Amino acid sequence: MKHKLKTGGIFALALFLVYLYGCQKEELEIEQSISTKGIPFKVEVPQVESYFVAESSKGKVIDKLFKALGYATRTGGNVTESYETGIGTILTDEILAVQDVFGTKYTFKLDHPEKDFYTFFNLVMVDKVDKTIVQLIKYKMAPEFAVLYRSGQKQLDSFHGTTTSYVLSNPCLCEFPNDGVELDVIPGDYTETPGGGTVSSDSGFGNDPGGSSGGGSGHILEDGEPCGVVVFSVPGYMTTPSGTHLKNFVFTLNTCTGEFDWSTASNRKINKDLNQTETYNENGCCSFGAIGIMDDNESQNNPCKKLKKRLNDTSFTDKVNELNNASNILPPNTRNEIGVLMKDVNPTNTNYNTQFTQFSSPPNTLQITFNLEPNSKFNGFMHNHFFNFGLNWMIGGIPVTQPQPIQNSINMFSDADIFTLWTMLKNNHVQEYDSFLFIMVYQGKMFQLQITNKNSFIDFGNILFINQQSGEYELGETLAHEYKQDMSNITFANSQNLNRDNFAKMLKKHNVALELYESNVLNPKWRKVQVNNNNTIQLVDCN
Amino acid sequence: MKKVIILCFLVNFCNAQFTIVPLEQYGSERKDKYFKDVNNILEDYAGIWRWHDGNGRELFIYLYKQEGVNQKTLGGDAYKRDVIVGYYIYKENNIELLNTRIKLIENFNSISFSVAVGGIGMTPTKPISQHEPTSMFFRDFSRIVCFHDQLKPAMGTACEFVSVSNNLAAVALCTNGLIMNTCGVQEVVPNFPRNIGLGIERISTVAPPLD
Repeated sequence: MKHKLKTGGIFALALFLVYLYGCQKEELEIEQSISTKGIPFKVEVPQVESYFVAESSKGKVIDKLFKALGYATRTGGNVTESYETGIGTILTDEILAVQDVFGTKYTFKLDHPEKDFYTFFNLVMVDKVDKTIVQLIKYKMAPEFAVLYRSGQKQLDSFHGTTTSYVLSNPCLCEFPNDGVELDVIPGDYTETPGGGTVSSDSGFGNDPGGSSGGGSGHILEDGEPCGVVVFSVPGYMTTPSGTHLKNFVFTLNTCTGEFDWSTASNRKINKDLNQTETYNENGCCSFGAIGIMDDNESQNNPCKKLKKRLNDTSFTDKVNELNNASNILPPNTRNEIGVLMKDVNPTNTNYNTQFTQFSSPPNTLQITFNLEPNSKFNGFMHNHFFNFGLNWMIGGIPVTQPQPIQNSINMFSDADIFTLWTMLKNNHVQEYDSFLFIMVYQGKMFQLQITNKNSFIDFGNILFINQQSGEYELGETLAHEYKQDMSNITFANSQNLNRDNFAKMLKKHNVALELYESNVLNPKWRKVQVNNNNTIQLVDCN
Repeated sequence: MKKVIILCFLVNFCNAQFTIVPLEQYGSERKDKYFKDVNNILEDYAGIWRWHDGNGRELFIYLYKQEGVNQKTLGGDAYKRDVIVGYYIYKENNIELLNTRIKLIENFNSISFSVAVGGIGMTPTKPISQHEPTSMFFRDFSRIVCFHDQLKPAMGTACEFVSVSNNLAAVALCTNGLIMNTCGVQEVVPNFPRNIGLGIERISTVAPPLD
């Protein structure tokens, strides 16, 4: 049953709102005096605030959900990353909370049996202090949108498809006329505008001085809540994985009738003639407001999340430690570079089941030769560098030593490393570019080269690594010049931090479509090596 | 007459693209510059250099000065520079096992992407007497890598050439880094002295003509 309801707009609004704020915690609460019938009127319209529930609070939120769903109480104080339930696996690595005038809503990702390329599921828990409403929401993407979304070319804020809500817990006895009904959601018209917080009012407000949410228009609802029409614009400032967007929404909410309308700054009205809906009705307990939407689409995940998740995999951290041990060996002991191809075999949400294929360099040689099957794809490649000074040389079979090194190691990614990453990507040996691990370990630190844009990185290499005469792949000398002679100053003699910073600056300067992340090997915590616009380096924690 | 005028204009225009700068001033600002060896510092790198291990293995490196090679920065800016290009011959017990001369001859007019098309190349910017390390770019024709049906000499991050005196230098012929293959690696000359420090002596200041 497919019901083309205008309420899809409301739903979309909720989605967009949360997506709008999903990456930041807004704590703006705007007051504005409104003159109505000569009586000063003040209404507080807090903006939507969204954030991920802190680790320390997750247990309480999960317990509340379990109680509402009638599940057995969790055992043990620690929160795990997922819980198997009768409706699927509830993923709790991230719980999105959305706060607005209607209360706090929590969104959980759900690994539902029907989840597939086009479809994903959320559990939404509406916390009404003493009552908890839970809905299962099914998001089914339109085929064209799904392809673009899964390939990272579209974001959820332009969701196109259908949604279906199923009420799982309804202690408020709210009416949900669209329960189980598939609703169309069509992307709205967004206009990028410079933002600035404003709140305005429509005429017809009542004289409720109390500033209760939504204000009032002289009506009093049955439960005693004042009601009215609220019109407010919310300038959204959202940082998405693909960049920054500014958007501006205008909402009109009649809290007496439940009618809701919204438009964008371009003044294109959408979803007129709204009737009371399941999310905005006269029963305060049943007014939900904005809800969060979350998907675990790999292409949408930020690198931090994936890097953090890998750290939970002991087979990965064990391998990192092994590489780190190799990198710590100093002359005159025998040193090796070790390379490890990573292939995740039937990964689950909690276990990558990584298959490691390992290669080693000849002794004291800064080179690893390794084989790839022609059609093979991998989830990552990691290797170590080791310290090498290379003073010793021979003439006529006689060893000679002189002070200038000739075989230097480097504590950062080399030009050959970048060439390798590009070659693997270009030849389809990379399973998923945005989750591909390309890690170098050196003496207590590990670095990740993150591909940020597949096509851009391939284009970069097409110019740099393909011989214009022969069409063959070659590690030309341009990149080496950039490292050593062209002032990027990535050298053997530099400290690791200086090389790290110079390397990140080089990537940014030349738009290489790669980003650098670093972490300690012991007590790992990933940080993005961010180059600011003034060319300074900022280490941004992966929270 | 009209054609001649247009031709002159084009020639002047092309010449005007690059401002001649002494090679020693090579630096980060390279756009539209020609780093020319006006002080002939590259002559001291050119010639024939020999390594031997005293046990039958010999390597001869033939180096030539090549002028006005078109180059590009990582950012895409065009510039020119004078460079050293070359090839090598490897012998064991006086039997020639490897000779990359033909590679240099075949690619001599297309040197730009890589100065090591003949197997060896350098881009020094300082007189040899200063003993400054300079990268010795190397293609290892003793080790052929098969990658998606392309057969290529092993390539990687270069090691350094460091002069000890005007006629003696320490080098390492390296292909450092990660070398992938999908269809095998052929060890053409297993005992080739790759990835180790070599002392090379200049036995001639002039390498034979390339025809």
